[in-house]
Amino acid sequence: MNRHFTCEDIFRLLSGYIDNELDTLMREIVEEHIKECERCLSLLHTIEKTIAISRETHRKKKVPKKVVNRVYYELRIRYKR
Amino acid sequence: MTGIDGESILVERAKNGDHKAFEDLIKMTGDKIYNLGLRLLHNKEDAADIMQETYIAAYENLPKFKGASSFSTWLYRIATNFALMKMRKDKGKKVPEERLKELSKNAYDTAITDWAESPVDHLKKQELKEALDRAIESLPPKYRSVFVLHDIEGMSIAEIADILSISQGAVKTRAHRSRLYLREKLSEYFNERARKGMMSA
Ligand SMILES: [Zn+2]
Repeated sequence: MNRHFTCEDIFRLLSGYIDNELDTLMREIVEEHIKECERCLSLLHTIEKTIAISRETHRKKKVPKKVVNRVYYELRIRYKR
Repeated sequence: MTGIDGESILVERAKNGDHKAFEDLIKMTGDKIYNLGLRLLHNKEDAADIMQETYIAAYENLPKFKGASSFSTWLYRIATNFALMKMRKDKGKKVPEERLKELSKNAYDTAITDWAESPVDHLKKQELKEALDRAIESLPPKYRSVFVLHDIEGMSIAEIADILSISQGAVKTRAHRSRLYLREKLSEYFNERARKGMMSA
């Protein structure tokens, strides 16, 4: 299994790599490539960082009490019907 | 009472006309649905609307809920559909799908800088969030929903395929393209910031 993989090949696998969706062989191919290829490694790092920033800037908030109360109110009108 | 079992007992009771049980279900799932709305639509009023529309629809359609998926998954599906309707009404400029397809064919047209280690101090955080949210809002709704469900909500490819009634392959493609687009937008943000930093230094 020593076919040469281009950056384009690796590039298509990066999301699957991040999501842990690759089989062992494909995973190893990606890992071998990014050891040698700074471009693909940078791409991987910045995609991972994009996801991390997205999570960090959208942390869970508590639903405000008045929003919940409005839902109860709307439902109680419907209960009577 | 928590967990899936508690949930299904409450659903049974609610189906038999126990209103208190339905309100307990809201207590259990309310934060999730509100946050989903907030993350998909980026504003509190819309998130509150989604929450209200979702629970009213769930209440009215409760007899039709057969338990093929969990009650929370069912709620997620209803909420995501309401959010998609709102997104489609938004007339803001969207990135053309063609451009997203090209990105995933060739990401190496532009130089890759590794900004992953760029520090983000507290003051810059809000600015960064705004830049990111603008980028997320410029994704077409069918991409935006997949990105939020997958990378912010942390749902699996299979769950998202189920919620959106699309194939797992379609979920993967949309997730990959969205990530590349947002990565590119954040690259622009960090490059611009580095440039400004150099000028003021
Ligand atoms: Zn490479």
